[in-house]
Amino acid sequence: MAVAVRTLSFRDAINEALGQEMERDPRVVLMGEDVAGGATLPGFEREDAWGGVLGVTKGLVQRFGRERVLDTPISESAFIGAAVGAAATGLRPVAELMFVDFFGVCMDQIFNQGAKLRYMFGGKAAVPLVIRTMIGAGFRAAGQHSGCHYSVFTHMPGLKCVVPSTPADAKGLLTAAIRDDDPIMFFEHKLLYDLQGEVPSGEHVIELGRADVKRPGDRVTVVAIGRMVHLSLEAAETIAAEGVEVEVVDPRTVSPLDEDTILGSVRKTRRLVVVDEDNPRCSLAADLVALVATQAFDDLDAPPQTVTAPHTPVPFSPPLEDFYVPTSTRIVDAIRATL
Amino acid sequence: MPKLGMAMKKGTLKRWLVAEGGAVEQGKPLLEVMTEKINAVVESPASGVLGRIVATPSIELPVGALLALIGGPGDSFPPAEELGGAPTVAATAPVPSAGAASEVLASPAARRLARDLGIEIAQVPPSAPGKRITTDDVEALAEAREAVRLTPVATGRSIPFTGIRKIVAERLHESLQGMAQVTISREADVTGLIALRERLAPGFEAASGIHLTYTDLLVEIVARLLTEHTQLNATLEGDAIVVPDAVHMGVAVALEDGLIVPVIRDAHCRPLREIASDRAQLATKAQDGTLSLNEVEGGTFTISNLGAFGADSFTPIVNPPQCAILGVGRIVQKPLVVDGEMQVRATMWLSLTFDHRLVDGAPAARFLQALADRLA
Repeated sequence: MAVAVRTLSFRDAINEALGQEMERDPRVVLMGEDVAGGATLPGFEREDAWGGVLGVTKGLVQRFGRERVLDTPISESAFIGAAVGAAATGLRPVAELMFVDFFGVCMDQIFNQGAKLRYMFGGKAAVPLVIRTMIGAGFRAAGQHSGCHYSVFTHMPGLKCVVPSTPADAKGLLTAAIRDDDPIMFFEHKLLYDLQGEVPSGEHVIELGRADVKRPGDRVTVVAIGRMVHLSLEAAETIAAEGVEVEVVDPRTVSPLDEDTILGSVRKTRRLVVVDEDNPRCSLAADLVALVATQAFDDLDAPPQTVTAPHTPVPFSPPLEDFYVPTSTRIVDAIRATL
Repeated sequence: MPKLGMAMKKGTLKRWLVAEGGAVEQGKPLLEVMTEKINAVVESPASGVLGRIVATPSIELPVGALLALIGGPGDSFPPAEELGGAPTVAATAPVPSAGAASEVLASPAARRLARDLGIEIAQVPPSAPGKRITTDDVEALAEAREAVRLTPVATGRSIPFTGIRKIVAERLHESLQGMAQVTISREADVTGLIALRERLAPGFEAASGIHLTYTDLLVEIVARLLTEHTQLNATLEGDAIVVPDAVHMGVAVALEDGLIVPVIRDAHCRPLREIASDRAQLATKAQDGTLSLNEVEGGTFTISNLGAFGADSFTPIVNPPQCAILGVGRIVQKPLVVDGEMQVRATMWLSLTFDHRLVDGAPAARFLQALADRLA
């Protein structure tokens, strides 16, 4: 396999994974609101595709046609339900739930159908479905377009949940997700789409359920999810100037969770900070702290710290939104609190 | 746990002399017990098989505690845990109470590391006052201790501070902590004492083979004198100053690894011959480690004679619950002015340490005065 590496944006890395998997497997189809846009329709010949609201799927309809890149009505319950059914009957759909905040209207299809079919049919049914969805605040998009909510899906058995933080991880994890036979929620932080990073050009698969140590250190373990990985790396740089070497662990897949890597890191550093943009109650942050408290209590030298959003919807007011999202300053403070 | 003496309330199982499952015979040695005062071999109360050992060595147990079960061959015995075999009080290394440890602000990892290294968490200094103790702090202390241990000036052998040495240490420290001890000293003309011994020694030797010592004479003289100075023969028991009718004289005997004080009973009224004979036997037993508990308890006063080791005078420490001890130095020939004339006389320093809570200086000095008169 080719291992050439070049710089791509997070957006283009996802697009490349989709294109490569569609080339590789004719059963892979895309569904969603404006994933094709007007492109290829009569009268729109000279228009490029919308490629989804932020252009992630741009160009795919020209390559694979409207039979495989399906624009859907604005009815999440309908097209997510269609995607679950298509997955259960032989296709490998990649559906786009534009903003995760819209999950309410299609939760039955995801939670009560997609996630349970394999179990309810004694393993004889599979739902090889990927639901790509945008998460994250900081886009001035107000409360109904800015949440993270991956904790909600992590709570649900039968779903796998992926939250990539880099272009390379996005490509490798999405490729693995498309090839996986279980329904997968794939969470893309909208502020990461323009992030540039080195991405292998050929086939690139990252096994689901494997955390990645984004920065080695021996003094404090910071487990960060999605965009928070970058803020944590910033915080780690800041505090490294004081001689404190922080290890930043990126779970990448939050369900299933790579407990061994997290526990191994905490056993080394004896200190844990969890950084999570999601709301704090019954959240991944709480879950990770519980994991460490129950499995590595005697390894701790300090109470675990969490840096999360507050327990509110994302505010529209820009100053309040900036206050809402964790910052590297808050992460540095949390790291200090463990020392 | 057998009661080996009147005052014994608890004892430490030192070791089993028969393994679990081994045959035992009534009256044959079964185990060793260490009390506050002595080591003793305990004999098996029955014959048969030592079916189940319940008590583990080094554990302090109250009198009456179950140590083991003896039965017949082929009998089945319940496991030790069911018989209350869990150790209750560690005798040599007291575990810090849970209360004390939990009051210390320390991380779980620090507590575990301290436990593994045998460091008491309360002894670990935090990096700053009020800060939680972390593994770094525990490691720092362990390294500091290791550094001390490895410092070249400290080379030498390490002797475990346990057993009789530890008991002696604790009792002496307790004595000084618990009493208001005062020592008064005087030099005494002991010409009379020397003459007395020279007169009596050959007869003792010939009659019973006993080598009469100055200590024997001092035991007799002091014991009889104490019947007139009863407050120095008293003991403090709770809220009462108890003045015994008898004088049971303790005589300090130096051992290889410590000190033991066997007791000559009724020294105030028994003949010198018996006193000398008792003292010789007790000294031998003390050296052999075969003293029984009733031979070391119940003393009402103690004499410690370091004259044989060339000491002139010293401040002895009272042996609780007694209230006084007499320290005796060596006898030296020296010029002394007697009746306005320079004479060569034999003298000895007498040092009386007493508990000032019970006795005042004047009566103590009067006792020494009276003793000096008897020795002159």
